[in-house]
Amino acid sequence: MEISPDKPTEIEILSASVFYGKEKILEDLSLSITEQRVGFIGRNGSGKTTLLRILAGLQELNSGKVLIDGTEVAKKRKEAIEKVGIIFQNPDHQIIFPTVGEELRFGLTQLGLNRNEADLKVIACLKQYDKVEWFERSISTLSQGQKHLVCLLSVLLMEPKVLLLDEPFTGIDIPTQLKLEHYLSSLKQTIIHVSHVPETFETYQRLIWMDEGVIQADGTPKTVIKKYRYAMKSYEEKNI
Amino acid sequence: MEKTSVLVALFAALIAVLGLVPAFPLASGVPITAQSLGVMLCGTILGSRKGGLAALFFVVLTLIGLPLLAGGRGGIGLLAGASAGFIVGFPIAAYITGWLMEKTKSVDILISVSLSSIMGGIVILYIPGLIGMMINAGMSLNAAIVAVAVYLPGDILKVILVTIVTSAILKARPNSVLTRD
Amino acid sequence: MFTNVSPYSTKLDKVSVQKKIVLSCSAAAILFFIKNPLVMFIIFLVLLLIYFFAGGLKFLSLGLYHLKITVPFVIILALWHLYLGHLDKGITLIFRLISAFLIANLFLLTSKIHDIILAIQKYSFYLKNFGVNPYALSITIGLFIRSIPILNQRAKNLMLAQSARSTKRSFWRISVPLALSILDDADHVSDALRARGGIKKREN
Repeated sequence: MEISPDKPTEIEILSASVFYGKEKILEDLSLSITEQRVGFIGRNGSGKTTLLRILAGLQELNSGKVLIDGTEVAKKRKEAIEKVGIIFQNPDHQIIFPTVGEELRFGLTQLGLNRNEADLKVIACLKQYDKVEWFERSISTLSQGQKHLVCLLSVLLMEPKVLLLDEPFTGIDIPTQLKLEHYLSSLKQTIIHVSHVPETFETYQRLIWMDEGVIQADGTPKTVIKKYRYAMKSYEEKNI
Repeated sequence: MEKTSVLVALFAALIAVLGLVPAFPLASGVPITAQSLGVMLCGTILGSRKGGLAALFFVVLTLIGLPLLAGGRGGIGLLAGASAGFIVGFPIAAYITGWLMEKTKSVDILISVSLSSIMGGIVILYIPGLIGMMINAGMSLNAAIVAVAVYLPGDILKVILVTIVTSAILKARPNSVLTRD
Repeated sequence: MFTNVSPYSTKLDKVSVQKKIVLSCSAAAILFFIKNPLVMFIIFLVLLLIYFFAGGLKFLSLGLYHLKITVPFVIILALWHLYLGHLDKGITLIFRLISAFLIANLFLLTSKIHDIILAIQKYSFYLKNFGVNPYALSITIGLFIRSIPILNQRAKNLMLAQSARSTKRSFWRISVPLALSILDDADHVSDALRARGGIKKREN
């Protein structure tokens, strides 16, 4: 898998804690990431989605900092959106506008482009994916897989250095999944991908297993998946 | 700021979707619709400011011409029809319902909601409704009252439903009921 | 729902949305000051002529077709005023209602909804004086339009799920899950907005 020779983006989580009332979702978590393809694996409720949200700057921290290339993403939102983009599980939860063109244009106008400049970029992007006629299309006429693509494109247009994916392939059929994976694999940015499916991370450089808000294992996908599988089995046997 | 935009958009969309529920057209020309239900919910859940804003947003877009009123009606022509007063009254009703909810924060939820929605969604809403009917139908106050009284049973049902929904939401998502924080 | 309602093109299609809104609102407003039944009836005829000149007989019949929603109320007005013996008042009111709808529909049948929304967004910067953030308004409108088909489908799905478990299919039972889903949506969409920078108080 081709890795870009550009200077890698530095992601630093420094003693981050997130509490929800009395419940500790993340406690004093520290992590440093410079790899290009990193995965997070874990069960539901393991804290991996919260982790993604603090990386996106969407979640307030009770203590600690999260820095992407030096920018504190929760505090400096304008810089943050230039550096990091996030794609959620359900495109219906992410798409704001009724037509593809408006949706894709939005991120660019948020970054300061005027409408015309933004539209030019959107059309160029759609051309690249051979979907120019989507510009006027109504979102409600798209299939789930097509909506996922719209979400991906709308974030990519903002050219973030880091792309956060929260189980983006849920509910799509395999051919569409392969297509989207293909698009993702050619991207130059750092990708941090959360999933509970081990096979997703075969070509990744680093995999981190989280459970109960704590990092249980951190290393190459092969070694971590082994530990993860073993743990999942024993949980099943113990009925946790 | 984001939360306001999002809630206004979504609750206005709720009012619009409630207009898609089949209505029974009644004799005096104003169909019984579920839309005032949405208006009351704007008040009970979002409160006076955001609720009123959501209803206002809906009304303005409807009067501009989007076919959002039950039966696919829209446009400035509505102001000459039977429901004109009610349409204009929607934002006021939502605001007052919300205001009353906020004032009765410490009272038992069932009482608070039913009181607020009866006052806001019926008493306050029917005032412009009656005025509209009088102007557009050329009826006297008494005649207009008779014409409009037909909706009372349906609206009482809506009050009951609003009470059920609001208290259910308070239980399931207490942080979402903005009138009770 | 949001495609152009009229399949026929007319001479008025090219007139800008802004002009048409101003004209139709002023025309409708004037209607309310007319008390003479004969004048009102003449206005009605003039409107029919305008429809005819704009798009011919086909367009005129389309315009008349769209008046059907006024029928119930017109009947009531007719009966009521006949009963009271106020024929002239009745005629004024009936033709005022019909004319108001003709004016409004003239605007709607000759404009694309897409253009109407664009015009609203474009001219919303005047609202800055009233403390309205035009950028936020744009987003709210987009979100509103996008949500209607989604909520509608969701309501239908909920009714389907319900009919799989009971013989009764009532809208009322689905209102709680529907309302809850809207609140969940609100959280997710707020996140999605903030993830792309949120709403700023800036010029677009």
